[in-house]
Amino acid sequence: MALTERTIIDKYEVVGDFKHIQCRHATVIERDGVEISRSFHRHVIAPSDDVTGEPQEVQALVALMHTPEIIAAYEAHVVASQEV
Amino acid sequence: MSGYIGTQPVPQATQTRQTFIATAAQTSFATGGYQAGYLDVFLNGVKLQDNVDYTATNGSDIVLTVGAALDDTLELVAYTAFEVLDQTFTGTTTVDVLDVTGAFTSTDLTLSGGVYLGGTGAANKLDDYEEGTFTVTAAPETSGSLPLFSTLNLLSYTKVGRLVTVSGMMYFSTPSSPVGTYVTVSGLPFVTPSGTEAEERADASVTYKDASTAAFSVKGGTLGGASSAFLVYMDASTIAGADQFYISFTYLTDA
Repeated sequence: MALTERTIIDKYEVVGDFKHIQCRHATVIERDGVEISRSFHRHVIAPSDDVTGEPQEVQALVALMHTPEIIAAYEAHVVASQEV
Repeated sequence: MSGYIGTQPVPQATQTRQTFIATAAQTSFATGGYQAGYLDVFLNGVKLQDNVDYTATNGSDIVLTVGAALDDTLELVAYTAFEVLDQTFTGTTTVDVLDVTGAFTSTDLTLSGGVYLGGTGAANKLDDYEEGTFTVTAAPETSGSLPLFSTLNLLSYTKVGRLVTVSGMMYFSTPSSPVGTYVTVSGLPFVTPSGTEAEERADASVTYKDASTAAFSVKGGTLGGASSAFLVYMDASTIAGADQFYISFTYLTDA
């Protein structure tokens, strides 16, 4: 009987006007290759966030979604929100 | 079904038979019930023709066009939908449409879609449940830093539909000259919607523990639109190592 544990990003969600990227990390426990447990950990990547520590596939998604226009719009939104 | 005598039965139907001995000139026979169109009527063994020899439309009576003779035998075969009672199915059972009219119980129920409650509109659909953890960071408004212990920066979330409830405690380690009128806590697991006015915003107040005095106080907090961070309003310079934020609030998300 072999127990193994692996962590994968099993879901990306691009949401909202500013293309926030919601990443779900799944920690999967398997016994002899059969999944017996799955738990989740999440984080959100906002436009202009530093993603240098993210996996390559996340960086590629960020590069695709967070265009200079999106980043500028989001930064303006943040400023406007703080003024309300 | 060539050669079949009588109404061709629908697949998986059940039969109910009743027999009557007629009185002289009897035309109406009160049966135990039938579904119009799903019955065969025989008089002395000869099948009668619906709407010609008899009428059977009200679900209970058979009315002969011509009265029966004394001691004639009228036989009714009524078909009803096949019903399964107290059955146990093992293995995978596929059902196109399942209309449950009574109570429904199950050990586990897996839905790839959602469930409509109280209506059939999008606003009635509950389509997601998830629980997990997320890691937070803190930063003062203006300058300095507010690092957290790496083993005490994990919070939990539970998402039901569009509602996200977060809870947990974050523990400051070695603040370095924090300055500002608020602290930004980042790392929420779901982003808030972009509201049309301000309906997406939420209260994100926290309970602050000053470790030097062991005093607790509530600090107002806000969560804005299109954001995964919330602001806690307090003098950031008063936060020292071992101070804590206790967090428990609920907010909206689109995802």
